[in-house]
Amino acid sequence: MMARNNLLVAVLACLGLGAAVLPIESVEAQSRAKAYEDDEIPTEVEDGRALLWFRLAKHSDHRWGMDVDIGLGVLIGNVRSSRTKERIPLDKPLWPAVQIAAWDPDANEFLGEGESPRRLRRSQTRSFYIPRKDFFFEDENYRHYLVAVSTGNYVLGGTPNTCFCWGTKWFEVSAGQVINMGIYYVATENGLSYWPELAAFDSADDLAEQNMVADTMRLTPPSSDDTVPSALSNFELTSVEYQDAAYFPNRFGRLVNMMIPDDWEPGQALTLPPSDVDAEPDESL
Amino acid sequence: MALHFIAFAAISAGATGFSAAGLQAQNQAPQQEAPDVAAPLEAEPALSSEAEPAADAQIESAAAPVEQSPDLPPIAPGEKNDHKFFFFQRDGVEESQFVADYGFCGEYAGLVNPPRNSSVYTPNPISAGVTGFLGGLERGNQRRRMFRAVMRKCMSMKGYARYAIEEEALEELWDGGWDEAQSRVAARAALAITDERRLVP
Repeated sequence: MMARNNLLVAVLACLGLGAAVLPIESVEAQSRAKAYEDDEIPTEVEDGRALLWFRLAKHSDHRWGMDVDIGLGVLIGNVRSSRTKERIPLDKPLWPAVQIAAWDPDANEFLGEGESPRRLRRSQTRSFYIPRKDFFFEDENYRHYLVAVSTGNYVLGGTPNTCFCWGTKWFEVSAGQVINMGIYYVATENGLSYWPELAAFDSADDLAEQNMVADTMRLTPPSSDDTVPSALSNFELTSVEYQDAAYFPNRFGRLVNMMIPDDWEPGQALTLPPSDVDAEPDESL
Repeated sequence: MALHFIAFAAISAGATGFSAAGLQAQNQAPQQEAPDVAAPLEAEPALSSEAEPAADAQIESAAAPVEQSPDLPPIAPGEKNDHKFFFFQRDGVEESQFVADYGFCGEYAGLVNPPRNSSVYTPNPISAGVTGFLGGLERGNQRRRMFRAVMRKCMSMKGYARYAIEEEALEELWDGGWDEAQSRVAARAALAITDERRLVP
């Protein structure tokens, strides 16, 4: 018995060793996107690339209180908790992350996935999150990011826990551009958004207690009145032109929601149209 | 195929009978203070400072009678397990429309895939096996929760309300799997409900 155990451990160790010597690409190399911090801002755009200037609004600076009931479930990591109505201020505000992914508008799909016949070029930016910490400028309510990507089409795919599969935007990037992407207001639907209109989005207590609350996002498009940070003053800025993306599959297996539509009025619930009763089930899903 | 899966997942998860109403974020809108939205670099964002008034969530069971056909199981307030035992309802919805909406939502919910937990190293294969087994159980539980969360949100955004139902009644409603049950479930969904037992989506 002991010998068999030792053999198994040895095999597992070998597998672990094998994994350890495999070449591991950095996140930057994998995504082919580069976020610049304040001391790294380039003076010009690399060949075949473009720079995207994102502004992400503060997410939240409170959390709900939780009552934790430690029972036998703790033995398997299943601790029951319930949300209280107490709003507890956070020491540091929360900042969101937004996924940007290569997009095939003809197939209405992530590039190279499902019905998309196109293949990712080696130099193609694939999918990346606007990284929470790699900003080049921050003020009280916004963080500014400058991200270098390859040319092509991209979609606002969602957040780490939510796919905007039911309605989002895509945009095109051409070489040499420095693009003003507007402001992204991400709101978790837990009633805690820093922005009161978005704080009206809330979910049932049981979903909040199970961490099953989806995110949504409102987009403020770029404006000619936007004040440009001095770090970008050497560049000629182009405004992004967003286009609507139709429904697409939940490729990353996350919770699902939609971006807040352009014509949304505060207080209005997000809705989906009735499904087509004659439609065949989508086998690609 | 997808519908079969939905029905299976719903029943096996004890989550049969779904219903919901959209993102009704307005529920429990917090009475928070309006933050200072002045943006040093930006023009004032188009977000005003008025939060929606609170509309309270889990509505208590009421004494008012429920309109229902005799061949359908009665509904009852779910109390503890209304996160699992519920059904969707929209007044007068056609069966074909209900089936299409449910199928659409199920296709998205069926693709949820919770993130994997990081492995815990142990040199002992037995403990590694136990750890993996328990982790798998928890991941399955997580997947069922995600499935229900997506179904609830989707059906809610398509205009369906969510009502509690007792576990036995729910099993009866879904008896025989999706192919047999869809007419029953759709008929149940179409019935007007006159009491105040509506749940938060």
